[in-house]
Amino acid sequence: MLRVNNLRTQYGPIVALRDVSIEVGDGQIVAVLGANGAGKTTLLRSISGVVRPAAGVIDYDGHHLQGLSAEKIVRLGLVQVPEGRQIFTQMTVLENLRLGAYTRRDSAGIAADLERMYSYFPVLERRRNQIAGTLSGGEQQMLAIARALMARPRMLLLDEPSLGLAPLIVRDIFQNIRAISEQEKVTVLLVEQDASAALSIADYAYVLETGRVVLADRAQELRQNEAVRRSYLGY
Amino acid sequence: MAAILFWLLVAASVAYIAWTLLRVPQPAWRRAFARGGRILVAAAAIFILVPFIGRTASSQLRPALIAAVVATAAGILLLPRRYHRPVGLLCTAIFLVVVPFFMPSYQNKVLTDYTIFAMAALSLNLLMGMSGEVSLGHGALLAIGGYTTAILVHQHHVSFYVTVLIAALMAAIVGVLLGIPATRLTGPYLAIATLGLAISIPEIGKWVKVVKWTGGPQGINLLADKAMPKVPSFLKTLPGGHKMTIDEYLYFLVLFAAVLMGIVAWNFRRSRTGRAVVALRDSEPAAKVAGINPGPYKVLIFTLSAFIAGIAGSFLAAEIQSVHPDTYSLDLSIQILAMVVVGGLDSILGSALGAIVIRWLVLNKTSLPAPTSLPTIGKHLPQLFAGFPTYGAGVYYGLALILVMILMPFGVAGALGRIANYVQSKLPFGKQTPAPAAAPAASAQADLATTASENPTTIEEVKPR
Amino acid sequence: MVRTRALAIQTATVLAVLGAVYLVLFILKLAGQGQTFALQQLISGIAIGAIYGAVALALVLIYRSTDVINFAQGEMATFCTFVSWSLITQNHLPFWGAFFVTMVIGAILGALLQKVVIAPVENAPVLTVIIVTLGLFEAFNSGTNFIWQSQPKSYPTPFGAGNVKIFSAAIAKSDLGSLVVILIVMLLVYLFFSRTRLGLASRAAAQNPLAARLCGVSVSAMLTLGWALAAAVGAAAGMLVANKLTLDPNMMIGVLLYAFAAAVLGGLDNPVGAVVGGFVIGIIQNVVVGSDLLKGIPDFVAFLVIVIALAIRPSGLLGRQVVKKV
Repeated sequence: MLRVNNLRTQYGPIVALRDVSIEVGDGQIVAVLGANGAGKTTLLRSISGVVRPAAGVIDYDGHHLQGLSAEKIVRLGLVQVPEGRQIFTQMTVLENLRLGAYTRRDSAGIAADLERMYSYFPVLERRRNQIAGTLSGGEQQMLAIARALMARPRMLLLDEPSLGLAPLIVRDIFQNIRAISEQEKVTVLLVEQDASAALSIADYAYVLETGRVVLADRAQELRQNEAVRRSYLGY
Repeated sequence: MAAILFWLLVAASVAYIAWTLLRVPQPAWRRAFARGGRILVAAAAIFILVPFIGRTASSQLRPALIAAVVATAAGILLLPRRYHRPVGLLCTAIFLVVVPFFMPSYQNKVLTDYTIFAMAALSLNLLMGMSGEVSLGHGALLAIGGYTTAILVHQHHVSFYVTVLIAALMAAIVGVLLGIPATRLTGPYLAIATLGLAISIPEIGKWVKVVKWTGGPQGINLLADKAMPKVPSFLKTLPGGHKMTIDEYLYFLVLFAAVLMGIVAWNFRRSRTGRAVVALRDSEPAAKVAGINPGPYKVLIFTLSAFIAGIAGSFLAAEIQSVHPDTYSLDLSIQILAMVVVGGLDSILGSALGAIVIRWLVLNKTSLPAPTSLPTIGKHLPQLFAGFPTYGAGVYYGLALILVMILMPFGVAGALGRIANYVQSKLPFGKQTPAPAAAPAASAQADLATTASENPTTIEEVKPR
Repeated sequence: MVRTRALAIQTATVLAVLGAVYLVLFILKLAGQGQTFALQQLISGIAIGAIYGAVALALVLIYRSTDVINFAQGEMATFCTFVSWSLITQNHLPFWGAFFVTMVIGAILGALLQKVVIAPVENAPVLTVIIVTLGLFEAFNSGTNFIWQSQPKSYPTPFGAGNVKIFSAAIAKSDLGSLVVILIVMLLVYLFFSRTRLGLASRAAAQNPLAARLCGVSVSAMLTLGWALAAAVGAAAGMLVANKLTLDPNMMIGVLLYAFAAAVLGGLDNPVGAVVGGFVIGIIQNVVVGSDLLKGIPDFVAFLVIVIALAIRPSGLLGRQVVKKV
């Protein structure tokens, strides 16, 4: 579904991604692992159109994404849950969810999806008129994911969903992601520092180091890989 | 000829607008267009304005102006970069001292006017260029200088020269009063507050309760006042038999004051205090960490700026030979702002150039290229542009402000510097690094005024909140 | 539930602030003699205050969505008011026809300005953008001057001449009518932002542009929309106040200053605060004009209000504290 070829992105003179190539198949959950500064967020920003790559091709279902504006890419069904969640902290939960559905016009479908989001994340229904900034970290993450899902995406990009969250919450969130991916038939590209959480739900994974892909394999292979175990899994 | 160029300019503007609306995404196109836009505007300015400058300058001045332009071009082309500044200064000094003797009295007054406003622009440039604060209050400072002098001369018969100093001190006090709250106010709020001051000044001048001092709506007339400056006896007759007129004397007085203030500003800029102020402008948190306490420095720069403005205001009163509340309107403050911006922020040369450009616009507004003078448009819309000769100047310097900020944020002085650098880099003199004194000014302007069209990176990044 | 409670609190604050200001002025004996007179000043102060509040609202709209202080707001409004004058006197449009057409023209003008003049400098430092808006101020002021000349023109009012009696105070019909219309305009703006999909998107774009883009909102379109709305509101304010102030190119300079005072009082990022501030300034100005001492210097009083308000709370009396990230 998504094929990134030889992507290069730089911020001025600083090259964040060099010659990165990644492939995500239909219905898969693919993880991109790496330490801080490896370029993971830049990769997602390049795909989502927030940042324009200097070179390379991003092929999504036949569309070339590089050079397109972020708003157009969302309308193609590719939605990102950004790093740090980036919810609208001064608006209510419901307003946040409605914004997720901004690109859609079918009010019946939107209402149905709203109900479905509440079924995935009951806490959101309880707090639907509450100001989003007052939610806990985990609840905000759920809101961010639900907001992205309100656009009925075919592919979801998740940027460090575990950031700033307690381990138990992280486990919950990741199980949610897996469940949603299967039920909503959404392909997931997941970028994470928390390698064990990511590998627990991924089908395939890449490892990024200082802007380059250094490893690519099926998730269960990577879990056994010496180097990965020592550097990223801690044992 | 002028008609063709005018329509070219209109067509270019329309094209620019259309392009913006269609939002050409390619960064390369945008850069090329920005560069092309600058060249186009410069060309238009030269081809449309030069004939008018020629027409407005008196026949005696014209050869001097032509000589000056030719000499400048020759200097840029022939001299290595490091000689530009001293040679330029020397030639300018000679020019300024010699020229008034060859001009009629009216032109002398015009030169005096330019010099006074160069000082006023310099004072605002110190504030805006060095500390990055926008102030619309300099019209008010000029008013304080002018009124102090007028009141002291007219009602208390104090000698004019003494009043200049007092006026400067009064203005400096107001500068302190402005500077103290300014430390707590961020950019837009300070601009709003000074806007309020600028709008209220004419009102206060006409206020019934202070008519005793300010002379109310008629102002104070200084024409025949005994305390006003006169040509001192030892200068009355110059070598060569020329009798110095009062206009020439006033001009030299103002020139002396302006040069003195220019040197003060230059020294201040290079001093430790001056660099601290610039450091605060570039990054207040970093400067604070380096041990620079913003409060006293901000107050200091306001005070110095106000002091110079007070002197300028005092001389302005002497030149117009009256003070009148409507002279010091908001329009005046915006004019001075335009001088600083068009001339070039954080540049002494820029203040002078900007003052000349804007004052020339204002003083010659009735002969500015107006659409009524062009046969094709004049016939169709006579009513529309009938008032242009009287009010057109404002449109021009409003547009100048906008265009300069979009296309040429470093101002005329910065543009001259870049042209000089560019020309030098193409000459067999070899790649000279610019003289160190020039570098701070150029880099400061570039740092202060980068716009999207200057941005060289290929990334379009959403501005973070 | 949350929303109605917030609204109730806001309304209560408005009334409390107005009452407090009036009480203070009354105690200072600036509010004039006699209850009838005082009430008249209060109500006509509110009427003109609504105009200041509307212009302040336009300023806040632009500031909130684009971080730009539009110094040209007043002059743009004056320009539009002159356009409506031409439409009424030369093209013989009825008042309300001209009113709506001019608001549309104003909106288009605002949108064009944002795209052509403001967008190229949106990443530039604050100084640059301020200068650009001052350039617009100057250009519009001179432009209005040369197109329509500076002689004051009389501007029609659709509400008729004469007064209306409210609690034994005589209020000009035109003042009351203007008050009602401008309140309707402001209410429509409020409803737009709080109830519509586009208004929601616009708020989102102002609060968090990155997240808004990732929801498919075109942030640049929202910026343009913000300018268009603000210009339309400004035009409406101009047209409603022109009868009272008589139409000339410098008509809105004082109004702009009072609008700034209102916005500073209420907090530059607080639309409700701006409107409340407008009422407060309206009352103060009305009192000033009636007082013997301060009669000739209403602009200076506004300046003092700005200075005092900023001295007490640099982020505005009702505004949020500005927290600068280092």
